[in-house]
Amino acid sequence: MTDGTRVIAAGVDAGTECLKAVIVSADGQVLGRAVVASRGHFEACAHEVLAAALDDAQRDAGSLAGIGATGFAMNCVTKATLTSTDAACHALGAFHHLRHAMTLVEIGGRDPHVITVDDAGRRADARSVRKCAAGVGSFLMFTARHLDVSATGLQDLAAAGERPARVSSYCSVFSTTEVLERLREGARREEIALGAMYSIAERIVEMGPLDAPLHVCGGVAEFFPGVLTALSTLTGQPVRAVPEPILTGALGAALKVLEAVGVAGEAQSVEAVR
Amino acid sequence: MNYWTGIDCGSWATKAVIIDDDAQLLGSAVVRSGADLSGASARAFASALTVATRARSEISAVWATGFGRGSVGFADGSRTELDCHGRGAAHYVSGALVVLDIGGQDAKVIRLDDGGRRLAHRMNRKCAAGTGSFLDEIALRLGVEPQALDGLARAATEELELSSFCTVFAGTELLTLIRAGKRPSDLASAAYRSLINRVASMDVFPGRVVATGGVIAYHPTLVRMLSEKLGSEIVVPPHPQEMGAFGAALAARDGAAAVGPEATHVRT
Amino acid sequence: MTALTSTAALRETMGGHFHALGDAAVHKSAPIAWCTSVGPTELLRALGFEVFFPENHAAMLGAARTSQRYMPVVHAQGYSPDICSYLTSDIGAYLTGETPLEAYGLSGVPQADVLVFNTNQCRDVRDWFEWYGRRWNVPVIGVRSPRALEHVTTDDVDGVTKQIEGLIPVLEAVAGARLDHRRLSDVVRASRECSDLWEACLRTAAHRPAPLTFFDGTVHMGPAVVLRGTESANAYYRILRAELEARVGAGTAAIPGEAYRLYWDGMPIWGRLRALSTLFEEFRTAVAASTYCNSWIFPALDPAEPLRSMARAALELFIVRSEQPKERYIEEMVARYDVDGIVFHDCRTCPNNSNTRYGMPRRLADRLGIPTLVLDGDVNDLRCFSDEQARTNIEGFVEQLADARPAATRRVTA
Repeated sequence: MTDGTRVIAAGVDAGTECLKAVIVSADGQVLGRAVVASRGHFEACAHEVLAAALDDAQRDAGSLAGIGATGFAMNCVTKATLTSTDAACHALGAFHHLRHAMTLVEIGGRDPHVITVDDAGRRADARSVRKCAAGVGSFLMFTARHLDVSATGLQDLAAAGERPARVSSYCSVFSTTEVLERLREGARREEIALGAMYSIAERIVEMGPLDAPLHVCGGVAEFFPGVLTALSTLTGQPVRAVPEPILTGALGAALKVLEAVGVAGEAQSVEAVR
Repeated sequence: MNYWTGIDCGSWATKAVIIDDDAQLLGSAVVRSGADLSGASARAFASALTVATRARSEISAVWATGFGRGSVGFADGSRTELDCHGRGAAHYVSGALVVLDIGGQDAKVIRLDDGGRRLAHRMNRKCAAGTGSFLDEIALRLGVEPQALDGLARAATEELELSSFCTVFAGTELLTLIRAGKRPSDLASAAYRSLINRVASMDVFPGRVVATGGVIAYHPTLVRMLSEKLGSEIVVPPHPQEMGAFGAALAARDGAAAVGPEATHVRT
Repeated sequence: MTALTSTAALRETMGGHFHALGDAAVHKSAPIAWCTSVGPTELLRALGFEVFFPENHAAMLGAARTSQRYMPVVHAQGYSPDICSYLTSDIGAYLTGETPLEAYGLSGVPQADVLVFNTNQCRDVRDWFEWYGRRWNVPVIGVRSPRALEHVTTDDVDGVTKQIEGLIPVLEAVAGARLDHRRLSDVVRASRECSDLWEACLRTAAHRPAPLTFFDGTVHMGPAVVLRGTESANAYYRILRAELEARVGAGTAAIPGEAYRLYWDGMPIWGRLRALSTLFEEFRTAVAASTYCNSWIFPALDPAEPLRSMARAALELFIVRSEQPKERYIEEMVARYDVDGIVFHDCRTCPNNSNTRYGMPRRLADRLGIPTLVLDGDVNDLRCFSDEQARTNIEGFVEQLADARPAATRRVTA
């Protein structure tokens, strides 16, 4: 075993909308983080996001015990020493913060997943949205463009909305048309922004039973907390975001590296307490 | 001489044109529709008047078409975009023809007989939108402006396929190809081909095809590829993006009987 | 839309049906059978069952648009959004513990003692009934029908008759009564009269202007679906027929200023019934007739041969037939109701009631020389329906009819 206290590891979550990277210490502290938009070739983006996270942690690449990669383009993270699935990494990343079994909803740019996380932080089951309801994060971005606000501005609008406007189509493309219909009918932009968030929460509810406790991670949870409020209203139970939800997958990937090199961040710190 | 205005209030862009009795296009304007369709219509109208150097009082009638045709409060009448694209195309091209309009949110096929009368129309199925917004998303993915796709596609060397019928999933397929390191020019060309395949499956296209809409205006390479796919000549009339607005202006000039409640707005 | 005064009697008739079911459920005054809309109702009535029709219930959920809340509950249970939205609406409402029947004093849908299906329309009815059968541990029996028939042969009728006969012992056991064949014959006679009266009502729309539309029909067909074989249904249709005939006599139009007439094929879009009805009225267009409303006309029913005629009636229906007889049928309706065009509803979750998927709209347009329009939508799942697309489609279609008409006049005068 290496000297656990000095080991650091990187995790990169190469998603369809954004690439995320974190640098963690052996005891699981996040030392650096970065997010870049997915544009053009993934290799270049992966390189960029990793460099940015190292920069944020004020470490250099040579000090890394390994690089874990996950997400849609994990194979484009050319320097990765390990790859792992989205569900496994999100489960591990969320468990790292929360330390209990949960239903974890991961909502990113494309297809959302419902992951059952057991009391050891493992993925016990995962379900994905049906084909026709995919594209949720990108749908919110399209909606923002139609409402003439930035993506994050959509959340501010929704927060000021009282009643959600009806946006019911499960097809992202036609949901966008519905947004325009509501606008034409005179719905307020705030109501439409809120309606878009309800529309996403409905897609999640359709995916199957959501046993408590219910937590959400992924980019949508980071930028659009209105989706969580809507999900809570529709399910009648509390819905909480995992801390730093956009980084959950990247964090899980970094923790996988620690496990692989035998440092296993959390486990080790627990032992140290004993 | 009388002057006539047509306004095509679309889901993405609002177009206005001013014509005279001889259907000469004196001025036109295109603005973003945004969240305020009525405001966009007024802005487009004002800009078109400026370009045409005409005053509002010189316009005999304004007719509206497009998604937001009911939001153009100052219009004297309206017709659907099915009518206006057909009417506009028939003005430039005589004989029986098929009009293919590719807009921001939908695609339409309109069949006309040799007298320019509509025989049938088809719109894309709800789950298979082969439209301009698809190209916008693709451009965003490639990190270029939508207008730059054409230049890219022209330089394509490898024939890549996007097989999904669905815009969202075709987008994911494109990301998969990007992940595999494919060249942007080949990807742009694949996106064109995907859109063309969807449009081509909407109908059969015997004889002459007239293509209209914003996508046609900005993507000439797509038009060439479409012509090869359909095996027929594709006529791109002047100002394809403003064809709906032009058709609405012709309807205003010809006093076409409006269908439905709009009929009560028509000045006599 | 000119409102029909019979609507008050309709409400009373339907209310009577639901109250009777409520009584049966609460006081156990009669056994309860659930039945598919096309039967075999008559057999159940003859055995003394109160009969509940889940399709009618599902349509109520669709019309109230509460279905939008219920369907996802069932999708989450592993039933696909691509299957029958009647099924998912109805089971979803059950799981949610809600029903529009509360308005009639029922606390829930009346629990079945037996569920009886006929797969002549689709397999989904059976899957739907089996869900409840498992839930309540009661028998689910029915007729497994041949489909896509070019001709209804003697063998087909023999086979279905045998299957109906085979239901009798199970139903007798549940009802605790023996089948009285004279009573069955009376029920079939009443059912046939209902069919004839309903057909007479619909046929009044052959007049110009039409005194009722497809949209009226979808509401007023209620008793023909749920009370067929009872005197109360027949009493209602005598009232309705009288009103419609009076309208014909007085020239009263359902759509004032009727300018165009259309035929509707396929399911209603229940959640948009009012909106579509208003839209067509704006365009002075009467949807004068439909395959859907005609589906509760059973000319084969014959009290002299009850079971066999029930089998024949179920097999002769439009939905059980292949493309050729379907096309001949629509052609006959186009001529009878003198319509200018045909609207086909492509119902996303109901393939068997969508006649758009094997080229029929174009074949008919070519052969009949009238335009056809395909509307994408769904019977209960409004997520499959775009208001905007439907409006532009319909408005454009009526524009086309309007443009064609002066042209036709010109040709005549030239």
